[in-house]
Amino acid sequence: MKQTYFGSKPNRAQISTNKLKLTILMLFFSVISTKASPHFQDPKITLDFQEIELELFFEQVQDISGMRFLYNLKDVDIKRKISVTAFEKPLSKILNEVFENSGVGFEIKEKQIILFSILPPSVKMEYQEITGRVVDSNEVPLMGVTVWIKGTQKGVVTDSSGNFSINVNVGEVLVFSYLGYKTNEIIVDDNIIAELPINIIMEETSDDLGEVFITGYNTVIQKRSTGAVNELATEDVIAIDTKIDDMLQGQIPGVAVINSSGEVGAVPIVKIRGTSTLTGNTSPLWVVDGVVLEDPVPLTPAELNTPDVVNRIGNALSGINPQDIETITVLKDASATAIYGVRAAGGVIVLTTKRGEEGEPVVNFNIATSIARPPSYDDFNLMNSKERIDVEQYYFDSGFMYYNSDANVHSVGLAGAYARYKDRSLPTWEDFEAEVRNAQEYNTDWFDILFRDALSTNANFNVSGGGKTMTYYASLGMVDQEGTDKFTNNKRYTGSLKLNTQLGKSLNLEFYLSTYRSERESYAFSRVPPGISNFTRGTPKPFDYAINTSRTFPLYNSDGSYNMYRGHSDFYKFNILNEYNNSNQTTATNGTSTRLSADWEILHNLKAFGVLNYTSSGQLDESYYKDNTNQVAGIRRSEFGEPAPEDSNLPNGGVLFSNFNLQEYAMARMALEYDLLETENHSFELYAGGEYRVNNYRGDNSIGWGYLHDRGRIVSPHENIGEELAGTPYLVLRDYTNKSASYFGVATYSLMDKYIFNLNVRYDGSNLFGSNPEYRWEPAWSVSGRWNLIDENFMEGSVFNNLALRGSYGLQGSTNTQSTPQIVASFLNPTYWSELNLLQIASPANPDLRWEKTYSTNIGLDFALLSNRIQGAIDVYSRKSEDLITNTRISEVNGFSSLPINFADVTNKGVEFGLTTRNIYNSSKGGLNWSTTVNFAYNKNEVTKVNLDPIVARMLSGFPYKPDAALVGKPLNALYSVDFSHIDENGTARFNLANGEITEGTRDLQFNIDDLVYNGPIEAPYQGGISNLFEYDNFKLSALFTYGFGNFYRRGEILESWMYSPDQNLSKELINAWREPGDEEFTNIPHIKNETGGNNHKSYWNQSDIRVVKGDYLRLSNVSLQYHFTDSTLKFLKLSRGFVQLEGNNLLLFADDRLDGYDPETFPYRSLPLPTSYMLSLNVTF
Amino acid sequence: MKALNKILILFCLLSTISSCDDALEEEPQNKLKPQTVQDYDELLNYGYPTTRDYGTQVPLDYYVEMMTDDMDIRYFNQDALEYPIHPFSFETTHEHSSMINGYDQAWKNFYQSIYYANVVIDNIESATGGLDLKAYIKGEAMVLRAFSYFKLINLYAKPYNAGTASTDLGVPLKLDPTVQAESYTRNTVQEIYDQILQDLTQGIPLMEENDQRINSKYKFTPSSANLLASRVALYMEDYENTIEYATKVIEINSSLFDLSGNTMEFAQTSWGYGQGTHYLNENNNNVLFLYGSNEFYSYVFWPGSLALSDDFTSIFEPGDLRYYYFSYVKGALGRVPFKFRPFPNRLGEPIRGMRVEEAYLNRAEAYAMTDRPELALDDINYVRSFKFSSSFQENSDYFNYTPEEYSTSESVIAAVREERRRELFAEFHRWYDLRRYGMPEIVHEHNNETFILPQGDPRYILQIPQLELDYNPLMERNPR
Repeated sequence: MKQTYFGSKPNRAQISTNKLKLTILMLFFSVISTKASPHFQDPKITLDFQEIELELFFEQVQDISGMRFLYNLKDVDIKRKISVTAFEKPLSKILNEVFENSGVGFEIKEKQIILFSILPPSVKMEYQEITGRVVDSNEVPLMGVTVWIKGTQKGVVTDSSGNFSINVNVGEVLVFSYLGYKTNEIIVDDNIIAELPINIIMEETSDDLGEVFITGYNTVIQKRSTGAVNELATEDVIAIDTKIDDMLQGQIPGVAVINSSGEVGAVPIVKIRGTSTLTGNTSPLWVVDGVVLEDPVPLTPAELNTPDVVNRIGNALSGINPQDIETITVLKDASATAIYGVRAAGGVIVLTTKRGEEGEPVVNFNIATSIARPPSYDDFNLMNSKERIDVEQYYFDSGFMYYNSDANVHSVGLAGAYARYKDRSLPTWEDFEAEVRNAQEYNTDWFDILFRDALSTNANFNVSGGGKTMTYYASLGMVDQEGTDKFTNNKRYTGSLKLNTQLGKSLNLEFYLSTYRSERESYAFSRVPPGISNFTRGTPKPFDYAINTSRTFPLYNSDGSYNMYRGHSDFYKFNILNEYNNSNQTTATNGTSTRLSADWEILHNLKAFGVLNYTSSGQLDESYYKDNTNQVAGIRRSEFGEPAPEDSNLPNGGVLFSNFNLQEYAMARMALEYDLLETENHSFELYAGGEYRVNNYRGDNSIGWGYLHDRGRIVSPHENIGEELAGTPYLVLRDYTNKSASYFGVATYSLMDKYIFNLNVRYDGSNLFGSNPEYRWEPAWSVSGRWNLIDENFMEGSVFNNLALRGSYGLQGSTNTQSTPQIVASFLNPTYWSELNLLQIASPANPDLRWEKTYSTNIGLDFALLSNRIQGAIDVYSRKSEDLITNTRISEVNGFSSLPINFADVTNKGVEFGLTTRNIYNSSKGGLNWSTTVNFAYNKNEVTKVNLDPIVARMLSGFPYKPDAALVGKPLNALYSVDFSHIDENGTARFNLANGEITEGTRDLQFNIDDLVYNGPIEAPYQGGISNLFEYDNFKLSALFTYGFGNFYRRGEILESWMYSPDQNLSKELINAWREPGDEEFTNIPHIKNETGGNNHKSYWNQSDIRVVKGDYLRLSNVSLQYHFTDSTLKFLKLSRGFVQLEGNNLLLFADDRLDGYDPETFPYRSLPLPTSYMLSLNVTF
Repeated sequence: MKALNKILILFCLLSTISSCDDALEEEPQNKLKPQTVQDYDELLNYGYPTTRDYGTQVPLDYYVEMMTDDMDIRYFNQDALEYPIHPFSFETTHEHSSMINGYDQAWKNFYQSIYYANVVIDNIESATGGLDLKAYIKGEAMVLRAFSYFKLINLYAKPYNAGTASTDLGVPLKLDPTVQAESYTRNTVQEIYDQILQDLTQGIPLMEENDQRINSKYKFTPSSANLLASRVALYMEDYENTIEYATKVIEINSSLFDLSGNTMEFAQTSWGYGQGTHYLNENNNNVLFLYGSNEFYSYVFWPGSLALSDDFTSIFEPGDLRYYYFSYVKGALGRVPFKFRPFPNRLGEPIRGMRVEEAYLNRAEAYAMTDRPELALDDINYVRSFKFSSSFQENSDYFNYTPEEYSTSESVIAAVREERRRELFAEFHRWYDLRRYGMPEIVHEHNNETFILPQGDPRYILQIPQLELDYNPLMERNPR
């Protein structure tokens, strides 16, 4: 088939008067067309029939061509006699002749010929006959173009001259569709009627991947897109997510979404193409409708990598309702992200919100209820009461006992019982034995006590519609989620309104308002500064408590009161429910964004764009402990109910920690788009503009000592507050203002739409790098190109219907907000002893400090073949990050031990691969469809230059964020271990050293960097997802697998030097620990005897290579089944669309057993595994 | 034309964005670029190596006390606290992973003081504020810098010897506030002392002539600056200047800490935990300057690792109340140091300083060394009159040393130095004094093991901290 391409735009008036609108329409249709792409074969056949019945004709044609006719008997008179003669004539032409003037239309799809009735012209006056001609861009008439009235089944097909004639109501929309061409729409209005017959130009398209990308700044025609870009229509994600970042998991190659916790509302860590900074932020930039999102509370990169903090206070995405999002566009390489400048080194994710469409109001309502299952002991490798007491018995029999009998009287298990026997509170040995027997049988189920089946509800309502000059979209959303632990609850309310107006012919305005409130309630989070209270155990997370607490004692005493006990390390008595029920953590956030965007066509080839955005948010983050908690007992230094010591700082009441934060974010942007040249073969487009952003955070942290929760939340500090607590600020104020200004420009040259060249430049300036003008303005740039191979002559007749090669090279920058190039002093509190005012130099003058730089190369191939049955893209990239800021150790002669300097280099190389296949394709309604999408990404991260001298202890850390332990030639955040040799005859762990020796003894073992074994990356280098979608009849079934592999974790630290505290539960593995000489033949776990301070062989055993396991996993992440109501049901319910959906999340998991029941994603954070959950939802559209 | 107008409007709008360079000036929170003389004063406050919070430490030279002949380890719970045994047994380096924060931080903390002093000295001229205040703060910064170099040179280099100082390795001399990832090399002892003297001779007059009458004892004042100068001169064996500076101190303030009103009975029975006044309490009139933090808490009070050596307890004479004031018997731990009563466990409390007593002792030693025994004895007798119980013997001057008893200059020198050892006990003087007394042999015993530091041993000069050697490849090591 000869492919000719759109070169000029003869009907410019129609296209360019409302380009933005068209763009959105194109986007809309790109979604439609991926769902029901017309595909037909047009075999040339030879036949000769005289006066045969149509029915027989159908049979004959089916025999010859293999095509099937589908029709409704009431539409087609199959007994009608026809005559037809043809020699090697396209079937479509034959059919045209056969059905000419018969009132029957046809459409060829795949191997099916669908016949339908074309209603005879109505007698009603408002019916208007529209006649016209459809041509391609070279004015060649197109035959067989389907012309149908939108929203109906009515349609006609153009004849061999491209002519058509159809009767429509004024105001209806005519849709022109033809394979290989972009779908075109016109509204039948007076202008059209006046111009009859109309001329429709169909623009060719080579694929159905979506014709434009929205970069957040401008829209890029996909055929001219030179960057590595992926687009996801939220409509294609069948699973219902309450957070947009969750939605991305496994969907886009190269976008790693790592769940750090199974807690409700947990914020996943999102990384695009690996980690390219040591001290900076690795998160991608999130953009909504062209406006960069800012976190409601300023967080350091370390905090962003600490799930406990982020999960509590949320991030920039917390206020976004995924239901309001139309598309998610992920920009990955330099070409795609250069326009975002210095903050885009981590990639960019652009969200486009939904907008209303012209027409009657469409009301959509959906509600979903889900249940998430709690964890249980079956999942984990933990001892039961009997096994735990056996360990204590072993200690007892070996003569080890706790020396601190005072504590043990209140302790649990055998040690507690023995202390009470010694103390005479258990008078006889029989009493002691009876209590031990009890302890063996308690098997307290802490999971059952602390966890539950968690119910969640998610409801959304939206209405959209509009007239010619104004459309609207409004939505309300509500999420109410219970945590699987009984103490956590998340709520979010969202609302948004979008209005699009057209003022005159050339000005379009978009007004957007969105607001949200989120509330999170959970177990308290202690912020007692270290040093104030060394006497408490802190507040454990429910999961940590359940995992770590022995089952040998009950929650309640026999009289129903809380069983208050003292573990070996407790100074005061503790009971987990007493602690949780008398303390609380609440985070409430309100945020509102207002945005006005405009586009203005100044000249036919010059357009201006403007955006103004104002966002404000406020967050109150409160945590309190009442006076009867262990936490407060530690500060008071007495048990609750007992008199406080005279010098106690907190004799009365509890403590309240309150953080308040207020954010204001304003942004303004103006840009011009200028079509310098637009001829048949050349197109040259310029886009340039500038923007300015101010982000201000104000807030305070305060501590209320002497907080009386039940007395009207009064804070009544005691006069003793002074000596110790004085070192603790009562109130810390914050006021940060970040300002930045940017200029950007894009030039795109296209030669015959075959060869595209693109140049992006952006200059960024920021007050964070303010003092040195040399480094204040930093360019980010990219050069890129695209070669649409499919348009080359040699590709004619190939199986491909799209083939394009892309290449880009560019520079991205990234700021490190922690460092500045000038002397900056910060105010401190007056000193406690001297009461002098102090100014500290927060960072020394460091005038050479500059932006971090990432040079990226990307080569990509987009392909589609077999009429889009197979389509996909492969990208290969290399990102060299240079001048990364490291906190480098310097000579202390400087007065500082470390200095942030631009030193380190890191490379990320990788391959990404996305493939969608339509395995079974059936265009008829109700037929079986099956498509599969496979995403695969490989990222190799390597530190190529670094000046850190890693500390062995940091190297041995298994936490996935440890930029201070980087080694040249290894990935960032890698796992290292000591090299386990064997257990010796004393039950001591022995380790291999680099010099070939084996460690001796139990004390003061020391390892050098050389002695460590490199195990591999902690973050999975291979990641992706596999999704399958089946459609049959009224059912739709989707299944998403996610996977990651190639990474390594180290199992939990199960050995301690000291004896285990009786309230502590142990891993079942310890049953096999060394007990007596000879055991070393069978076990590689050292003895569990008590050892003192300097003995460290057991702690190194915990960090040895025999504890390393693979992190590989395959998860059946989601299965969703939709049932769509039948037409009759819809009619009966007066709905236009409706379905119920049953969904299961996290249903199956294949991972190494030795992860001990932890989730392979949450494992490195030792946090709650992702729960299995089930959801039922209803979605109706009126 | 109409279109052109539209474009013009647009460019006007764009140009408002483009003029935002000024808007990008730094405005970080709670932070500022130091500008006023007040700012520099507060920066200098931070520069003192003094603890800032109730509970934090600024570890300095606490380890030298464990190497002196004043200290003994009677009982040692090695699981509780391992560190003291390492310097006590004269290991080749005073550093050990079990010390506070795992490495020697005196180096870092004194160089940090030098950095702040350098920032102030370099920039204060251009600050806004009164000229006299500027001059005073500049003088104070110079004294702080001199003090810091004086501490460093006496920790990590040979004691001052006029004959060899110009070749003896000192410490790196850094006089500007730049911070860079470069290597530094060691200047000579002479260069460091020259700088110390220059800073003192310029700084002290600036302070005296522009005296701001600052009462804080956590900052140098003219009197404490003079006392520092007297100590520097003494260490340099420049006895005339020692006398001159010490005399100036005494002229300003001659008050001493008075114990004499207490009876022996009271001292022997009642001075326990919670009793008495901190010997370096800032309210004591004799205290001129305070810095540091109470690292001793970790090493003395809590585990009781260090006790007074028999050698040291044997030099106390009957009636000397300091014996009871500076120590108490803590069971098997022996007689442990207890100078910073009543609450020796206050972690952050500064326990280093300068007192008027030292001025007398410095001057006495200078008199003794220059063969003026009577003047020397007068000074130490004056000090002793405040430290001995006035009711111990009928004869109210029973403690006085007489020229008859101390007829040779050697005996006077010995008496003066013994008095200095007693009075300045546990205030981080003994180690430095031993160094300048010719680095005599020290013998420690623990657990039937004997550790000997032979006379003049290179270990009298501490090794440069390992971290500094690691990150500063050009730094020369001290011989071992």
